[in-house]
Amino acid sequence: MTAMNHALAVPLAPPRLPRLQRALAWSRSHLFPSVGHGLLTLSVLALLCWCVPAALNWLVFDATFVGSSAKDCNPGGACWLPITQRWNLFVYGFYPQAEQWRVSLALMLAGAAFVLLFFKRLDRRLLLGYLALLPIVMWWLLKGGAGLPEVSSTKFAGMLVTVFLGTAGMIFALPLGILLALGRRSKLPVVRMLCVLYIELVRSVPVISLLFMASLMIQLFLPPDSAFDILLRVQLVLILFTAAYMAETLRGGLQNLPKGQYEAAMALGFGYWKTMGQIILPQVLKQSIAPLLTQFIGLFKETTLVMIVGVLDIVGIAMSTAVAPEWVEYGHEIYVFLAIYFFVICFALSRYARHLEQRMEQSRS
Amino acid sequence: MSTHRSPNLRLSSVLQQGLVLALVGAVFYLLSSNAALNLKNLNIASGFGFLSQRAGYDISFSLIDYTPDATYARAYLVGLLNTLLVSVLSIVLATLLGGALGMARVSENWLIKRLSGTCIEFLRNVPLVVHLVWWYGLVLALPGVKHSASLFGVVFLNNNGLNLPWLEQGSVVGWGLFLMLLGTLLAYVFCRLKEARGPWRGFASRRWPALLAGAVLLPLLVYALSDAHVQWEVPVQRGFGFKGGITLVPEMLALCLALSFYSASYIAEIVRGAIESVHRGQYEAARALGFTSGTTLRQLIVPQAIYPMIPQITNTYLNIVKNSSLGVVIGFMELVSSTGGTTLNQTGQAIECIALVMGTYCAISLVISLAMNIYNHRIGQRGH
Amino acid sequence: MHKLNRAKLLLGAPLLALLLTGAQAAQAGVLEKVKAHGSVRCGVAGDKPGFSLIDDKGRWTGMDVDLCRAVAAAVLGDADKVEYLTTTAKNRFTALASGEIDILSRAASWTAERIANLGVDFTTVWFYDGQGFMTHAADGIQKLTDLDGATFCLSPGTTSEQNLEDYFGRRGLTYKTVVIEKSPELYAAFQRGRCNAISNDSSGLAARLALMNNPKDYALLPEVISKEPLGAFVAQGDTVWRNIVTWTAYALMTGEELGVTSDNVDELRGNKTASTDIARLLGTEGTIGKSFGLDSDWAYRALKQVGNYAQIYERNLGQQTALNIPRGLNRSWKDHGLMYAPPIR
Repeated sequence: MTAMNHALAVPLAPPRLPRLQRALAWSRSHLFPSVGHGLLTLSVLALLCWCVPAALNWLVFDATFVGSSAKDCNPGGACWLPITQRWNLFVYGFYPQAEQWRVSLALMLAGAAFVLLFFKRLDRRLLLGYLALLPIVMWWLLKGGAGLPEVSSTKFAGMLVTVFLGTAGMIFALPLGILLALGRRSKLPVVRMLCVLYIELVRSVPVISLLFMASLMIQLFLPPDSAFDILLRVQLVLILFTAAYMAETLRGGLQNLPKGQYEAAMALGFGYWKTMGQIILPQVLKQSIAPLLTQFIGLFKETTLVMIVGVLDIVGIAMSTAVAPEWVEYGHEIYVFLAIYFFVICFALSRYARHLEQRMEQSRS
Repeated sequence: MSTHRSPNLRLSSVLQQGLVLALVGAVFYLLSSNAALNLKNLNIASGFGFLSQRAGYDISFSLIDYTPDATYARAYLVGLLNTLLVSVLSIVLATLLGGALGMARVSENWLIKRLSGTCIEFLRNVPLVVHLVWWYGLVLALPGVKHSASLFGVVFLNNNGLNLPWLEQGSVVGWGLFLMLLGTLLAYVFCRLKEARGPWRGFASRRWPALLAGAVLLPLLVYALSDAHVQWEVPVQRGFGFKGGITLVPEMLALCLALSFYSASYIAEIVRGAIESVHRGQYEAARALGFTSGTTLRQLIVPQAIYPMIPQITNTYLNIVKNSSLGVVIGFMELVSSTGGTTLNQTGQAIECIALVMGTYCAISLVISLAMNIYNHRIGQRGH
Repeated sequence: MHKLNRAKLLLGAPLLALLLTGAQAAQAGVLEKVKAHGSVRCGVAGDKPGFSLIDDKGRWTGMDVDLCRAVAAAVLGDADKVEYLTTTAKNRFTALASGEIDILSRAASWTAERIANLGVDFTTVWFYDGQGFMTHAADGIQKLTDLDGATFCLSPGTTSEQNLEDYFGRRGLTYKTVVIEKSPELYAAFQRGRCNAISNDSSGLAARLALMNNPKDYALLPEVISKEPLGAFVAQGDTVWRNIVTWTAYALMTGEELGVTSDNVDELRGNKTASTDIARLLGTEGTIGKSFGLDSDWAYRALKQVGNYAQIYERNLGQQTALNIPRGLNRSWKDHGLMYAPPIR
């Protein structure tokens, strides 16, 4: 207890203290506030000193980045050649070489959507327009038609699939999610019941079972000979799945909105759709940007499951690399690469979501 | 939308709903007629008759007796029990880990705080599939059967699993578990009755010793009174593996570990958020009153933090149950890989198998949601 | 509130229209669809070295892949006009029966049950295989019955689970299984000692053994417990398409038999003194191609662009490759193997 008091007292000391002394005071209060904590700190430090250099050595310093075949690999460290040699495959899949700029452009456009969210003063209509057009433009760029040579979706693989499934899934799920959220709060009991049933049903089953549905069942429910390809079916299922979760996120936003907003709109003689479209939804969507972004991270991670039904997303390509005769020994590197890839993207996005959330809270208070 | 609805409006709302229903009905009708046509064309059987047929495949881990001669229904049951077992184990482990990580996240020790923060971020931002593959690799890197790590010569750990002593008669285990649950429940009721008389003393009232006593004493009592003979079977290395005892297969261990670590990161964030949501002034007040930090946490912060945590924790638990279906990636025979996997492959009856799997998950989710709602309600009634 | 309905109707109407029009669409033959589409959609496994795998450049290679390429060359004139779809053991037959893929070339076994129950048809045997076993050399296993009580690594959805039960269950031997779909995980599990033996098509086992960096630590058992005639499947009910795939495979086998390779096919076609068998195969005599709904150069193109069976085998599994699997049963009948194509005339 006395140690704690001291710890509290230290930061209140005059700020003119020399640097060394300040560092000591800081470490005393933050690293060694008591004997127990001191021991803990020391043992953790020892552990870090032991494993961080070893990990760095393996990952970076002793690792092989340049080379053309497994013979160039340094046995002491990681061998990143399966990734560097197959980089094109990992990013563009089987996309024809001459058309790969289209994939790069589509990926950049998708990335720009997140950047746009950052600008506070951006016209809302512009943002919504961009988001609404994005999947259509991406689709056109990737699939072709109307001036661009067509590319079959069987050529889609790797990062391209992961990003496409995530982005298009999120954006297409948004309108459906809004409808479901409104339906769940509808005054018509039949509509409400149907929406509740749908949302709860989808939310209570694992994504894998839905993906199996996409892979094995959807064709059975379509007329003979009208089956569309697995990528689209998986995309459809991911949209339907995301919409159910999104409906719940948006419902929270709808509930949090002051009742006065609805009443004011009614008083102005606005009809249901006008009230929702012009007054309620813009506010709800604005407030839900951060949770929706968090949901996107979830969806982005869930897309890895599509490899279970045979879609070659980035995990699928990684697994196929792990059986290739030349790279069969380098499974560890391949999975570490996957972990780093997802970590970087999801971590950056989650930081970003937190930042947007904080800004929203500041503007509210 | 007005409070006084004219008959006209009511009529139109009925009409609208009727239309919606008709539309949904029509879509369903079309889909099912398509399905009937397709199934006929493809010569696929329909109905659940296959459940009583011989399964003909082996399941490496089962809580109940199972051989390839058993029926598909039995295989389904084995899968369901495996799903439940993995979920329960993972929920317990994830809660412990997540609680610890969450506490570390708000520790006054800067290093611990940062380290746990890094761990949490890393765990939650990597997809579960990658976790799973990584853990499976790690479990398989354990020493082989001949070089098992052993604990007192009764527990053996190797890359074929964790071998634990187990009771000779399988049915006794079921009874024992049942009695333990019953004992806990009785002790709980006893505690409630006792507390109901006195004033509520917060979370500090130690209920767990009574619960533990109930869980241990009742089975012992019943055992002493009955003429059952229980013998512990210690695993012994023989042939290719271990004979006797129970073996927790590596697939299950990997799935449990992956699920626990992945979900622990979510629980840790929930715990951190809840603890931080408790007003700063409360800590200072406790400190001023001379409470140690442990007591402050246990008696002041946790009881306040636990209420807002429940809905989020429920969601995480539900996600654990759903995510246990990823066992299919490393071949752990849970619900999705038994009924939704081999059974489906062998019978070709995709619609029935997937419906069975989905229906079961719906039921499990419903039960968990209900239980947590009741708990939430209970806690909500007390002092909030 | 009326708008709500209209919106729902607007959403619902196209869906209904789609469902209805789809139901009335006439069933076109696979050949017409392939020609209209401009490519052959080929379902492959995607993770079997020597049969179907992606190389560093993103190209598909393997025995199964080459069969699809040959069909594309015969039908569309270009062996590269193939779209590959990776199928899983679970969805492969559904994908074929529902018309998502035109050919399933996934080293799947030809069994009566599949033909009877799954709405698919077999073309012809492209590779004769059988279920074999690989063990750890240190265990000193000599024969299959030594594996009483052992744990086996298997891949799911294949006939191997049932074969194993038939063999061991019948003999009253006990066994355990670990069933993993993804082949890197499956082999990692075996190599790390999770299983005492791995059971799969012998060719696949031999291929993997060749790829391991310590092949001496593992041993293939001589016993083979099943017959696994592997080959391409097509959807039931389209005889034209089935004939095309079947006879393209036969043409490649006949090519080996007659000594027609991708290198000498042009020379042989121009050579008026070549045997009538070669002339019929290459379309300079007779109208076989037209009877199949193709042109007379179909087999010429397949042989020219993909090579004959021996060339395909050597390229993917032969001595020059890392896999080096002996041809065994897959030799031509002239070399006492089982590869016997009916006469093309």
